[in-house]
Amino acid sequence: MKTPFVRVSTIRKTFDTGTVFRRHAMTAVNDVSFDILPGETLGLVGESGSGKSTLGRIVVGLTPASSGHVTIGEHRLGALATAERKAVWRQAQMVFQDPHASLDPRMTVHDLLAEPLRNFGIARGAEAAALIAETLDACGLGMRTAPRYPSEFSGGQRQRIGIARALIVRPRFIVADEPVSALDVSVQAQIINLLQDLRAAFGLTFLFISHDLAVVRHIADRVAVMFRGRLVEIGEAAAVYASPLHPYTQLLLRSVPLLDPRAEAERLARRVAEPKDAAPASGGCAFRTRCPHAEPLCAAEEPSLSSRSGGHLVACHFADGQRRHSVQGEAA
Amino acid sequence: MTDPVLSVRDLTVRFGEVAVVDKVGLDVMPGEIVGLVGESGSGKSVTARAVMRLLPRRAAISGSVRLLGEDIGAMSERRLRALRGSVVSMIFQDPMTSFDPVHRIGAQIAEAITVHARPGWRKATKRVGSLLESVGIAPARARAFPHELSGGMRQRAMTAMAVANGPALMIADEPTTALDVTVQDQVMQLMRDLNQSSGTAILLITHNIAVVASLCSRLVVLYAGRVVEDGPTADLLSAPRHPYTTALLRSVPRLDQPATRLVAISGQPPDPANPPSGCMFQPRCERAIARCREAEPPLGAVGAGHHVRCWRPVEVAA
Amino acid sequence: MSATVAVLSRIRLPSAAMTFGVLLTGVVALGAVLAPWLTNADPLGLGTDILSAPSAAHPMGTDDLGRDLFARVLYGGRVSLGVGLFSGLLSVVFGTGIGLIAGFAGGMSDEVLMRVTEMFQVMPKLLAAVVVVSLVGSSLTNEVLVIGLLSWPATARVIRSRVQVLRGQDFIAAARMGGASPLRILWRNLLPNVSAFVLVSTSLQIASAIVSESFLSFLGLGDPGHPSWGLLLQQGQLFLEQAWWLTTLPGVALAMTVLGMNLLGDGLSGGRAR
Repeated sequence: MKTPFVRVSTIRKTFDTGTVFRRHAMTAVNDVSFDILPGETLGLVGESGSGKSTLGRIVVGLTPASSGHVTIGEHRLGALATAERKAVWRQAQMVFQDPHASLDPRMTVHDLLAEPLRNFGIARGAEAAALIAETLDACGLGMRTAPRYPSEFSGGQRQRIGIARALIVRPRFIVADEPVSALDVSVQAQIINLLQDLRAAFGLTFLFISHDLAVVRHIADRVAVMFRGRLVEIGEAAAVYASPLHPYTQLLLRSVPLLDPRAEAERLARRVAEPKDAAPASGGCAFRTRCPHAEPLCAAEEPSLSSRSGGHLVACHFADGQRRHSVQGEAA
Repeated sequence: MTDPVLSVRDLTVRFGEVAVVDKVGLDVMPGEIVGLVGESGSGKSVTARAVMRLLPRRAAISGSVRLLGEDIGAMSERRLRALRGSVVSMIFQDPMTSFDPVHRIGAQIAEAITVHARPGWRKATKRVGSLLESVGIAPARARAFPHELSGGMRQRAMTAMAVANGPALMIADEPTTALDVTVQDQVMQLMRDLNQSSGTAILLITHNIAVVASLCSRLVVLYAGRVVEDGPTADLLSAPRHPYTTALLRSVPRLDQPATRLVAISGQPPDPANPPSGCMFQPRCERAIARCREAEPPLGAVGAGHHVRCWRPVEVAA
Repeated sequence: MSATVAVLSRIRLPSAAMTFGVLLTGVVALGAVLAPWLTNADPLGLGTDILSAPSAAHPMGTDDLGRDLFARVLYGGRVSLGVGLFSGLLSVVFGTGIGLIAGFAGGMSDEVLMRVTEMFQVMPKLLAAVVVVSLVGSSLTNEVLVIGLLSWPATARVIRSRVQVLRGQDFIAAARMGGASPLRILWRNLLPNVSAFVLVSTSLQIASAIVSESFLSFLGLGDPGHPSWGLLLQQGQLFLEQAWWLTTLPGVALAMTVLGMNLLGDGLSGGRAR
């Protein structure tokens, strides 16, 4: 049993919203815990409002959690002073979603990569240049890109630059927040392949956040599903995709259109109409207003994440036995 | 033979020296759902806007666009205004900015009706109620402001507005791109239902191949402003003939296939200001031969209603 | 529309307004700089030719003490433009600094700085300038300091809101994760990205400062040893009926400058893609 490299413990994040007269707290992340083993890629999926991006920023130390803590290697992120946070960032880096907003438009590629080397005291001058060349090469960019500005590159190339920037300090852990969502389809595959290659070459551990279930399936060893700030299912990717246990995961997988005409026809035939205008649930299970199998217990008690089989955890009162309406439609 | 609802021939759009759409042609028959697939730089959005004559004045347009037989380019502004929203309507990608934030959605949908039909406010309001219901929104929500609705609901409301006057053709420009996958599924079903119940033809523009594969009976694949392949969806998916189509299908991560390593297409879509010589796809094409660099291939038939623009179309598996 | 198309449709030539602005400002600036070469007359030199209309000998006429108006306008331009330039720059530097810090730091620092900014904004600027200059005396340095230190709130606000927008962008988060200290981020990432706004602000502030300086001089609070356009206007108003050129021509010079700098500022802000 390997020691986890990243431990996320009971993270909670609330934001204060509303006006001066009517303040109320919005809980973006609600009591989330999971581990990531060294060298593993954990996929984090969810739709808008799931809190996955907020969680990603908390895990990498950009946003402080309201409660709970994150441990990356030897470092523990709590309410840390900046100096300690800086030490974490030698180990943990982030790849951002928007290739246009994540690169300083006024800095050349060379400067963008030289900055972290300078700030962390890793290398300067010729040494830095060598590291920069090596990193650019690993990301499929030549040295000719170094003196140019981000605006001169396409979205896919900019994302490569963003990845190079995360990689330049040689971190051990990378949080990738929707790294391919803003890219053209024909370029997405390039970046996915690049990330897989870098993972192997540099022994990286990944937290891969995405709303695209198909993309996550390609790159993740294990998958975690979030709904309204809660972790509702987590397990080996193959298991979760083949036999999703939580009704929300099942809904997600059912909703993805398939390219194969026969598979798509089957999927459409199995469509279950969702209750219209489902209001968000308060109290009990957050998903119950959209769940076709909701029972009184679901309103009374919030289900906690519990193990079903071999590392496959679900937060649902009825995930056991009652239904196996998985994507392939296996019988119970 | 029935006449197409929309007939585009040799449509070319230039901004200054740069041609972002080059001799694009397509037909949409009554009641059909046709998919226009392409990535950024493919010219798909520009094509859609050219059909509605929504392009800025700087755009130089040539070729013909016929809506129910009438030439859009030759129409007066007045005639065009009469057609927009009644015979042909459009829904856009970003439901946030497509509604006026200061008016209630019910009022905006009613306006879409009264502008064309003048049935009187009361009748229009009733119609709004039934329209909202048909797209899965409670009629009471007509009093809501756009910001009070979720993205998916706004998209559905926009669809209601688009079909309010029973158009012959609805153009949907990336209607589900900004939506969550569960909401996307609902909106797709909505479009399917609308098409079946009212016979409205749909021109669906997107980069998401799975979405078009599910909804459309025919596909038109655009690359660098040109049609590179078009034909029945089933044929294009099972036996694509253009190297771009083939490569695209191979590079998309799929839930219904084993998670093997994706085969990426190298390089990126060309800059319209600096096009490659000969075929537009040739720099990225594995099958390119000398001829591909010399001259651009014409669009030729390779099957019933199936055309390809390639000197060396991919062979069909026996 | 694709990104390419969006960019293509935004390209436009420098607007007519901007060109005109550059022209006007250029003419005035050149006039001031090249004063010794453009006229032999002494701006302070008394003469016998009193209140004479513009002629070949005196292109802009003379005043009641026989002083050549053309020379006074050109040399006066040096004062007006000089004071305007330096106090404008002072207010921009100060305002940018405050705006950067307030926008980036947020929280308490932002609140404090904004209250200070508001205090200065609420003060009737010109009235305050009058009071201060009356107290500390009217030298060019004092004028520059007073105008400069009263005009920075406008710049501070603009820069602050721009920084607040930039602050939320991923590249700033990436810089933090790259180990950059807050000061480094201000200097390396934020300042270059607000430079467009700083440029526009500079142009407008200088224009405004020139007007402020003229106002002070008009009230007689300008430096008497260095007559500026405001002073010329004040002295000329006594002779509005007899010698229209004494007020009109300096007024035209002032108007040209302010208009030119405003057009320049507009042009710089209009032509920029965000």
